[in-house]
Formats: sequence, C-alpha cells, structure tokens
Amino acid sequence: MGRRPPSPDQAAERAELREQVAGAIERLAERDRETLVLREFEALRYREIAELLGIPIGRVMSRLYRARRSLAREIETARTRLRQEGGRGDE
Amino acid sequence: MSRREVGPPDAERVRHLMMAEVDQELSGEERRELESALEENPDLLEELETFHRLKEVTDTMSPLKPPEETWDTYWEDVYRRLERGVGWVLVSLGTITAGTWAIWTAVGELIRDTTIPAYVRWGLLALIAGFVILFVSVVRERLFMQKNDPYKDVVR
Repeated sequence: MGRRPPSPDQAAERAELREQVAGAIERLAERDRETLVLREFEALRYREIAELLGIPIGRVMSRLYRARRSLAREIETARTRLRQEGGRGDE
Repeated sequence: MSRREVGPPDAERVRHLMMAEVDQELSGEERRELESALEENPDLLEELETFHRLKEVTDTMSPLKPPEETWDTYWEDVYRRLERGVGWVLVSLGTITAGTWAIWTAVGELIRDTTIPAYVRWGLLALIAGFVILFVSVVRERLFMQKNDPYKDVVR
C-alpha cells in the first residue's frame, strides 16, 4: 500500500523546511559543511570521508555532530520565529 | 534516580555513536553502548530524534555538491602525503644506518682506548646505552599511544 501524497499545505511546509536547511547548510563552517555534504549528498561512508579529507574517522563524526546540531538549532529558531509571526498575523 | 551527567570524554563518544546511528554505521556492540547511554540520559534520546528528523529532510533534498576545492585539496594532500612518506622513510633509513655505524665505531674505539680509565669507559657505555633505551622507549610509547588513544580524535 503506497503512502498518501502530502496535502498542499504539508508540501509547502516541507519545501520551506528544505529551503531553511539548505540555507543553514550554506552558513555552516566550511569544514563542517564539506563533511556534511560528503555524507548527506555524496553518500560516502565515514571511512571514505576520512580518507578523502585526510582526517581520522572520529573527527568526521565530530564535524557531523557539530553541523547537524547547528542545523537543528537554526531550524528550531526559524520555526519559533514563524510561529510568532503567524500568531501576530492572526491577531 | 539522579540523571547521570555525561562528562566530556563520554559525551564525545556518545555524540559519535549518535552520528553513526543516524547514518547506519553502528556495529552491534556500539548499538548496545548507545542504548545504554540513552537509558541513562533521556535528553540524548530527544537529541537523537532531532537528528533523525533532520536526516529525513536532507534525504529529500536536491544534492548539494561539495566545493571543488575539496577534491583539489584531496589530490594535493595525496601527493603531499606520498612525498612526506618517501621522505620520512629515506631520512629514517639514513639516520638508523649512520647512527648505528657512529655508535658502533665510537663504542669500539672507546673499548680499545686504554688511555681512558676503565670506569670512565664503562660509564660512557652506560650513558650511550641509556640514551638508546630511552629513545626506543619514547618512540614505542608514542606509537602505542597513537594507535590506542581513544581521545586523539576529540576536537575542542
């Protein structure tokens, strides 16, 4: 059984989220961004990233953690701001 | 029950395990280690769920290409490491050969030199032997630490 397609609202929300994440990725520190992009969009294994960048695997994981935590925080901040703006718009 | 505060070394290890879990690179033993850490600190579970949600978003995103500099840097780094590797091997071989010859010659001359009192000769021999032992010991320890230090990858 296939999944139901998202409603237009859901689709718009997801598109906006993707935009936010893409913007947040651009603002990451260069090293963190390059590690995250190699993992998320080039689908490289940790070992391969480590070899490519010439760093230990532990540092790959540290950079990924830092990048993802930063993205999560930025998205959370953006969501809070949107909710507040939406709340003011409803008033 | 008081919640266990995760100290710096543990925290770094748990962060690594969380990343490996999100990216499906966790071994069975590491999974058990992570589950144990999550049981002890539910805040980590919340953080892990945030990372999973983020992963769902990035999985549906159009690919972002790594900067070209990444590949340039990689190849530069390969050549540099190759050069350094060859250089270090030659320097090491030369040092070992010349050093061994110098020590061997010096010790031989010292033993044959009857103008120096015997106790001084033995003292100098002990000094040289001591330096050699200390050098080997330090090198061995450094090599061992490099292979086994669990915190060498930790970045402040």
